[in-house]
Amino acid sequence: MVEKRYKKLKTAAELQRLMQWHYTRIRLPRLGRPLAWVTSGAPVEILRAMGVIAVYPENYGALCGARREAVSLCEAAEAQGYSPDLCSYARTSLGSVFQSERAPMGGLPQPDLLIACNNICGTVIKWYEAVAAHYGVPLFILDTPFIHGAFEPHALAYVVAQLEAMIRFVERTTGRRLSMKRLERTVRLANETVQLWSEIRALCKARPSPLNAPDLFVNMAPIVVLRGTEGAVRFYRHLKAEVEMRVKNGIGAIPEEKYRLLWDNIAIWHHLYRFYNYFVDYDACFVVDTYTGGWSQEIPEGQSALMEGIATAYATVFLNQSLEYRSRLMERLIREYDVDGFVMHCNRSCKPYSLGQYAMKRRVTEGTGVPGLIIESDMCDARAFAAEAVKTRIQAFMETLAERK
Amino acid sequence: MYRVAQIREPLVGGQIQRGWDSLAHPCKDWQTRYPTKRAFGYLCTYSPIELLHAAGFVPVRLVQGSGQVALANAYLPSFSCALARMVTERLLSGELDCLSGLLVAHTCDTMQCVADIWHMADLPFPVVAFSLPTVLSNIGARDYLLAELHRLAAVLESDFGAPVTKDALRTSIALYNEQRRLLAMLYEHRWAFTVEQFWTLALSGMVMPVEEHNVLLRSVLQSVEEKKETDRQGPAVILVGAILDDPTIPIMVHELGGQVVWDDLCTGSRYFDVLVDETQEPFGALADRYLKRVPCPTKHDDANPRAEHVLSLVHRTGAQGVVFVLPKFCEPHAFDYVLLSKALTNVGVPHLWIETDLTAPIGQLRTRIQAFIELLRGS
Repeated sequence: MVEKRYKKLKTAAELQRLMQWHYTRIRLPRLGRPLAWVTSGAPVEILRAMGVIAVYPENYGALCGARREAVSLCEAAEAQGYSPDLCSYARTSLGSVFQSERAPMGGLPQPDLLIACNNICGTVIKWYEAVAAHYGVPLFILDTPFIHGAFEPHALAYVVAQLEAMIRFVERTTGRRLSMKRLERTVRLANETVQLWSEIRALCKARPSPLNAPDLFVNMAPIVVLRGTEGAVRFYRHLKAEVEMRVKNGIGAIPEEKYRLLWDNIAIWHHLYRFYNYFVDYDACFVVDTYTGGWSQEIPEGQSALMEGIATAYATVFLNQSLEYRSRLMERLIREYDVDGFVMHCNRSCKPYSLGQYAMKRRVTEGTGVPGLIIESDMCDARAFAAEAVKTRIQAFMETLAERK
Repeated sequence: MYRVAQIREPLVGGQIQRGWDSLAHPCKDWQTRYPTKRAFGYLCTYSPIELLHAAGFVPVRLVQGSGQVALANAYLPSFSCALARMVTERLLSGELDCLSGLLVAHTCDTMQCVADIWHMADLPFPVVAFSLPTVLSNIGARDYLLAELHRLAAVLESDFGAPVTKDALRTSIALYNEQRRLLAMLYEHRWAFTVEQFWTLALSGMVMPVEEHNVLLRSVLQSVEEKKETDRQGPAVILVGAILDDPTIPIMVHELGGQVVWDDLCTGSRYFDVLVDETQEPFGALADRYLKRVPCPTKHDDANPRAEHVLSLVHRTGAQGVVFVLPKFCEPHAFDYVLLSKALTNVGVPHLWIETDLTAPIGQLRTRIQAFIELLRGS
């Protein structure tokens, strides 16, 4: 087993239980509680405070990808006319809707309503439109204008107006009311989750790094899916304690850490351990990444304008900001985590994350002197992965890094 | 097979040729042709060209064009659409250096990225992003869009020394409304022109000053005989898709005995579909036009009228079939294709799907279009 090259976290069993419980619970009789499919960047705090159960098709897509069951679902979507060039999360999700007998766990339970926020991409709008058309359920799209320069006051006002409309939409479709007290409590829990996750990621500044990219990718599930719940807070407290112990005892994520790398973009789920092992062969550890940092925005508390806080936190996520902003973010991470090189996954599925990477790579190398590598693949569609070509490019890149040492 | 055009004036014929040349190379001889005018580039029908015009610019639309991609390969991966790659190529090659600025309206993920990529590419002119809303039926969308239009006007004044007055904006709106009305008339009389002539007349208005284009359209439309077309031959089809500046496909449809009678294309009817209300405050009127239009696939409208719109076009024009002309790697159109094609199938309207890229195998295309037209003939 290739995974053996990783030091397994003791909390891995707890993570598995937590996620299994989530996927079991959403199938149990819900006693009238409505179920929503939501995007990874939707303001779930509001839904939780209204007693709506949230499930995440993106997380489900990642899960299918990691189990190597996404391709057959993509093909099911393609058979319905969806182009193989479309996002593989969307194809996996739609395939699981069209042919649930092929899907792990029989697919996600049918939604009562859909909430999509375009702070991560425009794809979710089309994907959720297709799901809405299939099930005949209401869809709310929260529109967060892309920030090329500054987050303008009129953009903030627009997002706040929509949050209020979203609350009315959920009230109308579910008959449930929003209690501000419950919302404040959920926001507090979500912020605590986000803080813990940020602290865990920051612990990887240590040498050797206690975690490698696949650890971050596997452990990010609760920050996405269970943000704002006590279960997630409890889990991240335990994970943090374990990671702290590793740092204290000088235990690294990989046997020997010679090179420290940064990862940009979504994981290659179908080759998660195998892919990062190509780097472990060169004693290279991914100590930080941009993707799992996407859930690091705390919502300002204790203000009268809670909606403005939620609007700002969700509208300003890094994927909703300019390439210059994202380049600066990478440069900062490279300095803070003392990184030797960066690897960008040019992800055929994710245009907003990938199309600017050539420009960013030049900018980041200019700004930091640190070299980068771009690898073209796909997060879920294993058909787009050419292992030998990838290995050759990694070898050449690692040789460059070796010369610089 | 082409109907003989009714254009007699050589002057107009020369203008058509010039329009065709400038569509491919809008900057060629710009200084000689328009020594006093500044060109401002834009790409999509959600760009407020009236505002650019009112600021004293000639809005110049950048279309895909043709040629090889070389320089752009260092900026965009292979899975980017041909429009993004070709426009990047032309921007980097210096071919578009007559521009004083470039406006990129927020539509799809690709346009969102290229706006920043071009901004970072050290072009000889600034790139201005215009972030209009994605959900046009949203509460607050109008207020936001209005504020964004005023922000754009402020940027034109501060960064380009080109202020916009409300009076100038009213004049510009009237000019573009006239162009829209004339284009709609041209579409009604398309049978009077060859495909190339029609195509050039329709598209050249996006690269030449609107005043000139209006004169050109008025003169060609006056020379069209005042009669309704009665003997249309061959099955009628509608083209549905995104940018289409290359007339190969419509020419082929006609050569194979079909008739393109209307379209739902970004470079076609979506350019002129709704007028701006000239009685309203001009900024608000501009905003309202964007909210009223049938949304493009990158925009969401809760009533989702796009499938209905395509069905109503089919009904109104009496078309027998729909030809989807979709650029490879265009996500919004690829998603909409599934819902639209199902809506057409449900009402028994045959449709053909053509994917375009930088290199399209023409022979195979001809066979497929031929088979489709024969299918329509039989139905």
